[in-house]
Amino acid sequence: MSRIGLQVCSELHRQPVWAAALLLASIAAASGLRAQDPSPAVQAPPQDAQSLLSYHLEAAPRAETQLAALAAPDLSPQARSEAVEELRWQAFVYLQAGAEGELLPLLDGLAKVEQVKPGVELPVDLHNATLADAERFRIQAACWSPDQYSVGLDLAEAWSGRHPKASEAESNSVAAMKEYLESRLQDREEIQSRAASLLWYPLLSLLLLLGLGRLLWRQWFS
Amino acid sequence: MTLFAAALAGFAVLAVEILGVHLLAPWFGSSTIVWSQQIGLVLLAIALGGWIGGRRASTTQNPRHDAAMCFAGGGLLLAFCLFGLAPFAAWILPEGLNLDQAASIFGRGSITAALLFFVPPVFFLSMISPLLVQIRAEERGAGRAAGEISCAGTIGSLAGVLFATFLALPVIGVRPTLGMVAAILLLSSFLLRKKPAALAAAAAPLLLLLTPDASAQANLPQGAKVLAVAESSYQHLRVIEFDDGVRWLQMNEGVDSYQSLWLPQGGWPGGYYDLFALAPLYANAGKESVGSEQGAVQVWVLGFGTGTAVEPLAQGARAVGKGLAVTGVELDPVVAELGHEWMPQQEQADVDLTELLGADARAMLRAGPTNLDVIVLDAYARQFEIPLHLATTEFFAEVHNHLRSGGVFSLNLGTAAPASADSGLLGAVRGAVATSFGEHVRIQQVPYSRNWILFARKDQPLPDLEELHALLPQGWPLALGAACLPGLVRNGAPEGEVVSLHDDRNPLGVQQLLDWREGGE
Repeated sequence: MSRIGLQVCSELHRQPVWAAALLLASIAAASGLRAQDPSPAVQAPPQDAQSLLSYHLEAAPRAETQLAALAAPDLSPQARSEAVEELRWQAFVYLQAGAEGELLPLLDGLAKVEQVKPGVELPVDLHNATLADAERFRIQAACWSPDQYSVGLDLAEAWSGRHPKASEAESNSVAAMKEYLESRLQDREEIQSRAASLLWYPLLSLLLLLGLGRLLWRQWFS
Repeated sequence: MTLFAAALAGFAVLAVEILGVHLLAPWFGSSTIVWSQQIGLVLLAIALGGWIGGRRASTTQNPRHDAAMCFAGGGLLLAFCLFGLAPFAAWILPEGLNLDQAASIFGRGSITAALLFFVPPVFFLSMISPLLVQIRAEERGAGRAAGEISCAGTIGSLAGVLFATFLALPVIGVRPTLGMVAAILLLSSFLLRKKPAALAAAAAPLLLLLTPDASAQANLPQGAKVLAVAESSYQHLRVIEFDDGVRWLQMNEGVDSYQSLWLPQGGWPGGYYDLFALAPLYANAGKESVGSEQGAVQVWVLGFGTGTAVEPLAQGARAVGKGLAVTGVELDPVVAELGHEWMPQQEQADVDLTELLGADARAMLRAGPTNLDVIVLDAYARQFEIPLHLATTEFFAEVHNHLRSGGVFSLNLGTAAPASADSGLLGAVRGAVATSFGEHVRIQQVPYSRNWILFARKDQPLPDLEELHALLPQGWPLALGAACLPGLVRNGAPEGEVVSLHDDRNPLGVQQLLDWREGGE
């Protein structure tokens, strides 16, 4: 799985949109997300643009309501669990579609579930799984956005420690993404280092030419 | 003889100036920065050469000999440039470079290469004129000699420009031309020194042309192989192929960017191209109906490349129950030639394709019809620069005039800067388009990419999400749907002040450079 993930990540570099579907398929297979995600409303994520819009038109208003409800302490544990499950599923749908604009606010909302944990009766396992998924999805989204590589790597490095009960498949997928982010950041660092050293090259070249010119001058005019 | 020598020196200087950029282009691109550096450094070398040459002319006992030595120096250094530039560029450029991070490296690399490889030969060639004036002044007086040498040198320069543009680039090639120029300079040196026995040695630079041209492999993406390389009057071009059969047409420095894309199995090309399929849908929204008179959606694509946009546009036309009549305008005929040979369009019964080659997009559109359903602008020069005359308020007004009511204008915008649709390049172009199209403007980000597609509709509002949902057919790419969701869409004119883009004052070039530099940091 790790190898597949990396391979697709490198593909991603040259064709982000195509790679999205492939990569998400590999992540879903690795994490068993479809099997373990008991979304009551949706059996499979949208497969084309039209079904994605259908899903969004139906689910987006509900998501706003659910996020608001999760903040209320009097929500029943059952309702809370269902809301969180559906939001997790929705985040997965947006992630696999590449809908970054919808995904990131939703992940922010899911992350806030932790803030309401004290005093509310969200099952601990569900709570942990929700956070693990939210962070995992954010790491994945960071793999596609060069300006988010560092953020993604920080999250990936902390992920295993924060979610020790995560499945082996999930851990492997995060490890693959971490490896990818490390390699991209290392490449970037090398390029920046080369760019910094190149700053002096024109000056050195000029000095070299001036030195040669001086020799020429002496040869001809002395 | 002195006039011919002056003309030859002038010819060589301009050949080096123009062809030098094309020699740099596969490695460092040929952006406005590279051109400016090359012109500036060549002018500096001319100035220094003239000054030193003048000093030498006033002290030397044998100006003919000195002029001959300068010819030899220029020829040898030019030959060295042919031999040394590619390894030098390969040495200083890191592997795995992408366009986002390339701007600063390319700028510094190209100025270093130009200093080392182009300034020295131009310096020697520029020393020749004062020495020739000195020779000629003995017979005709200083003033007349200076005038005649200056005239001959300028005519030679003029010939160099024309030769480089109309013969060297499209017919002979950059390296062979510079090799020949180097050989002729050496030949002139031997003739001036009256050493006919050494004439054969002048052919030495031509032998360098037998060495392989490393520029074909410059900045090659991982896993790709080169299928074809060509040099046009505008750019260095190559077709590369990946293991899965996907082919890219790359221009100049290449890296991780492509000018056109081709899939062996056809179908949706992916990336930003797919969003062009929305244009016929948008044009068909509401009470309007596309292609009502002709039976086919009438589309012009400005910056046609090899025609990658045809498939998504055809999909869009089919979605509204029409065929597609597309006219592709492409400035560079060599792009089309490579496309026909290596990236051929599949014949489709419902697609009628016309190509207008070697023509400027704005000039051709001005002469085009005024009832178009869709106009697509995907024209880039020097990799990431939108041609300035195709990004002004006045041009967008012309686009507006060539659309029928309800027609749609679609524009591909690439920027490496952190995305904000209200400022920078995106804000400026969006604002300029809104000047003609009012609030009927929409910009959609291509998921996880540096591209945005701008849509603007004449006289009619663009469909909202629910309307679009009703218009979308089944089976279109998922990522295209993601680009339609509110999180990646901005409607209307930009908020706040944006830079104005006009024909007589257009800071877009600077804005693009700033955006790409910002993206690399």
